[in-house]
Amino acid sequence: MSNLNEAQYRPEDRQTIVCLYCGRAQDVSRRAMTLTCKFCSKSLKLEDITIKNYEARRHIDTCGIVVVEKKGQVNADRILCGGLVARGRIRGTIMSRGPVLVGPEAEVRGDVSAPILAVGAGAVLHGFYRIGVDPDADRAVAPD
Amino acid sequence: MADPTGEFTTVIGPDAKFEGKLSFEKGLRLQGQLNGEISTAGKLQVTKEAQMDANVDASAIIIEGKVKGNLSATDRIELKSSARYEGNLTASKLVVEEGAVFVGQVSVGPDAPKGKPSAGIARPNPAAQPGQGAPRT
Repeated sequence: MSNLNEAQYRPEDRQTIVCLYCGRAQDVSRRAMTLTCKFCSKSLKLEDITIKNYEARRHIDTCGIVVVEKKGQVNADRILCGGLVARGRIRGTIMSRGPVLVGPEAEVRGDVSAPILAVGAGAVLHGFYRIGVDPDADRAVAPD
Repeated sequence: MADPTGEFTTVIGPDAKFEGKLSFEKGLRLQGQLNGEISTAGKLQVTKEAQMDANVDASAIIIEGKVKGNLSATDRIELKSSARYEGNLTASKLVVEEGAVFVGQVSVGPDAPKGKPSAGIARPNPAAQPGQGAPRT
């Protein structure tokens, strides 16, 4: 029985995620879509979010990747994510744990904090940027 | 020391320190230290070992070293992986390599250099938090 359990829990079924709020890493199942951080007890979404049309939201919080497609337009106070791909237009403060990719002809207006930034030719950026700086040095985010 | 491509006809060597206003035609490779102001229609390259604290107006700026100040480029600004930059940046195109570190106000886009900020714009406060400068309509 124990051999069967070992076979079931293969390491490739697990992924390491970093809590958006406390910045601590933990191992979770790849199939998990939400979880509660075992360190700070905050609720975390793990799924990727794709935005294909206009969306106005107060917050977009996910440990996954936020993708704003070419015809997508986001108006948000805060986007807290594991990574961001902008092909359309974004207005709001972006705090990303992973790379922020701004496609050609995309538009990002607002402050951006990310470890890596990639910008396509023709992209429009306006805001205060913190790139490659340790996010936990200044990040004290409290979910509403 | 000579530039085989001929792109950077002016070189400030690693043991040189320059203070004041500097203008040139083609290109400058900075390997030493520079404090002041640069105005050119050419290219500026700040090499890995160089340090610069200056307001720069150029066509293209390539940063590999430590830079503070306001940069404005009509064409592009490239931040290489070893770049450490703090200041306000205005350019048509921005290229950021993985590993580059920069903090400051960014204005990038085909029309950005036309509405570039004045040279005397305030330096960003390193203690400033994200979320303070985003324009809202």
